[in-house]
Amino acid sequence: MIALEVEGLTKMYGEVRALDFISFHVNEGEIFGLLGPNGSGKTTLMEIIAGVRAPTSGSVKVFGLDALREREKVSRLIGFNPQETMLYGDLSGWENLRFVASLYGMDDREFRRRVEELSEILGTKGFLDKRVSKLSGGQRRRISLMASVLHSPHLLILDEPTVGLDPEARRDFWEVIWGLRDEGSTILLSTHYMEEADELCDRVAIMDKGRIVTLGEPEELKRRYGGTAKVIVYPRLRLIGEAERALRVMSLKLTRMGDGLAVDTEEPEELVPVLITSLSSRGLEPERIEIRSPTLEDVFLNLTGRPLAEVME
Amino acid sequence: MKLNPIIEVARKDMLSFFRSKSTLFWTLTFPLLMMLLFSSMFGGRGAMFTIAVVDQDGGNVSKAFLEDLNSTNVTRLVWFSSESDAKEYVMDGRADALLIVPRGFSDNLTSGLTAELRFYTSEDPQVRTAVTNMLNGFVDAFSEEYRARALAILEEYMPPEIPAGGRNLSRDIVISFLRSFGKPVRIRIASITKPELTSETAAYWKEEGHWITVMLAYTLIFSGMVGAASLLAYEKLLGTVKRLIASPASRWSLLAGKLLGGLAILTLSQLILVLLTILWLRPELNWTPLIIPVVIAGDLASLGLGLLVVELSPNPKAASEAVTTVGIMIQFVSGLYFPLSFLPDPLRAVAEIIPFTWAVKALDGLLVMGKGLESVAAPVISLASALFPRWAEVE
Ligand SMILES: Nc1ncnc2c1ncn2[C@@H]1O[C@H](COP(=O)(O)OP(=O)(O)OP(=O)(O)O)[C@@H](O)[C@H]1O
Ligand SMILES: [Mg+2]
Repeated sequence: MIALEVEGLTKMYGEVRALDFISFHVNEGEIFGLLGPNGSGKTTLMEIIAGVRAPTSGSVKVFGLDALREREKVSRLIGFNPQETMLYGDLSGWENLRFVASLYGMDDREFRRRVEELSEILGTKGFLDKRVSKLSGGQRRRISLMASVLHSPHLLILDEPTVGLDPEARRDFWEVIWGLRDEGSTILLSTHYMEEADELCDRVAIMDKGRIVTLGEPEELKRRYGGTAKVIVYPRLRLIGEAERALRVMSLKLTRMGDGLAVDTEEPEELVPVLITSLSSRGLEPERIEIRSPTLEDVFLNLTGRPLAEVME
Repeated sequence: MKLNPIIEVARKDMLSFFRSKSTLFWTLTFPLLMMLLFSSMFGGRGAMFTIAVVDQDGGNVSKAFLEDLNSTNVTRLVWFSSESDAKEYVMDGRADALLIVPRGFSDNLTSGLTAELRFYTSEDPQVRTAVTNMLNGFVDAFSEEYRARALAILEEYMPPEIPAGGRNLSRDIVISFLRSFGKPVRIRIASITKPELTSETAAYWKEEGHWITVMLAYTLIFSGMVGAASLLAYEKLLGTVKRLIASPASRWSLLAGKLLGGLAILTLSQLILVLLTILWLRPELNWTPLIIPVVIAGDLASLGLGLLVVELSPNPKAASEAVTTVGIMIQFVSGLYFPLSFLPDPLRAVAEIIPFTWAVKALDGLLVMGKGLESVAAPVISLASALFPRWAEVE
């Protein structure tokens, strides 16, 4: 079944076209990622789906229901976690959750049962009674996530759920999201970390300037648009010029990458021993050699002509 | 049992409100400080100087003198029968000065001799100067009046012609001659401030019942608007308002919850403020249940106004600035701290059409002047109607 279907969605903020006729769908049970630099329209798209903003034109269907016309029904199917940590600092985690539960008209007993269950999955047991203002960023995100899934939504919308977490905490968080998927949720999340899109998501839409540049499974995207693999040779720094000349003689496709020399190739495993032998024979033994397969970063670069990381700052 | 969003919104707002220290300062501490400051500066209870008094004379004139002195706003007299007790009282720092009226004070004055007062002040030079000046001024005024009275008596019993050095002086010449001794130089004090306004303002601050009005009205004007605005602005700032909108709870129930919570917060603050004011000032009031509709209508109007300002503002920061400015302005023009006659005409015209001004008038009317229903109807209707723009905005 199709969990979410977006068609021809356009959003104008005055003259700014934040979304430009976007169409895509998300299958039930999928973890679907929106990857894009700042200002590419991820938040705008998610807020429209969650019913927080009105689109300029286009349609959104959630499990077959028109999200714009049947707001009340659709809002029960959706769990939305905005980009900002949205909890009341003066209240404890538990008080925050109880408040959210009331917005969904939950039963008191059901609420308690659900908190019990979720605090197990999300590991929030130890700090539910503390005031939110006294919690760490990661703890807050967990409680915020808990608030978004209290009413057992079928479609979970998470806007940059791991921003600001250190890499270890981010990985823990992925586990949590996989756990929720196993619980039966479909997940739409945004990120500007390309490894996150790559490892966490079943399918990814890469966004830029209000459009979806491409969409598909991460592996497929990398295969199609990521270009070739690279072998990166790091010679001793003072010999880098000599090494570069030596490699050019071998008529290889070569680019300088920081302190290294990157060679494009279809068969990196075969190229590595060849490079080592030929450099060593000239007394230019490399300090280190690296094989890099294409990443979603390369996909973005190849499709837009700009590096993802650079656009982000 | 189903959790009710209206009640939970209200509960959540109340918790946030009472857990925030800065909010508590502005809603509770600040108005109390104002009350303590102003009422002790101008109020009858908080006279500027306390003077211990020993009346060794006990005659009619000394009694009149002390009563006059006591009836000025600046002094509070404490009577003692023994000089040593009175001295101790001053030494303890409980009074600023000691005034002794020696035996013979009344007799001396009535028999045309000079009377004497003994006066001791505390060593603090500021208190010393102030209290001495005050007493000198009072004694001058008293002496002048006394001389005028003595002359009047003299005038009555003096024969029309008085022999002096072989000539007869007319009574009028003698009297005007004597009068020049009594008050050789007369100063007419021109009015620098409009005297009737100053005294009206002072009366405002002195009237203890009015402070109950201030407590109720401060809360409903300032705390209500700023509180409602900051609670909503805070949601916008946090982004939590997005969670509210994304939820199936209706906008109407969210608004109802906000108003309910706001009303509970304001009522609680008002109870605390009024109780403390009563304990401190012990005002004489005409308590009547008629103040309840005025206060509730006022609370709701100001909450509605606060929410409306946030809705209309481009961002939460602008909203809270707007609401604070408007809140302070309304406080000053609504007759809370100054009588309306104090305001320049254009400002006064504005003040007259603000429903909060009517609320202040109605509360003073009910509590201080003992008026009835007639002072309630207009403000209640107008205050309640101030809510309407907000309802229209939401739906
Ligand atoms: N409320 C608004 N008013 C006007 N323009 C807006 C508003 N919100 C977003 N925009 C603009 O719309 C575009 C898309 O913004 P959006 O926040 O959706 O991007 P994003 O991909 O979520 O970015 P980020 O990675 O920084 O969160 C940007 O150009 C932004 O400046
Ligand atoms: Mg965003």
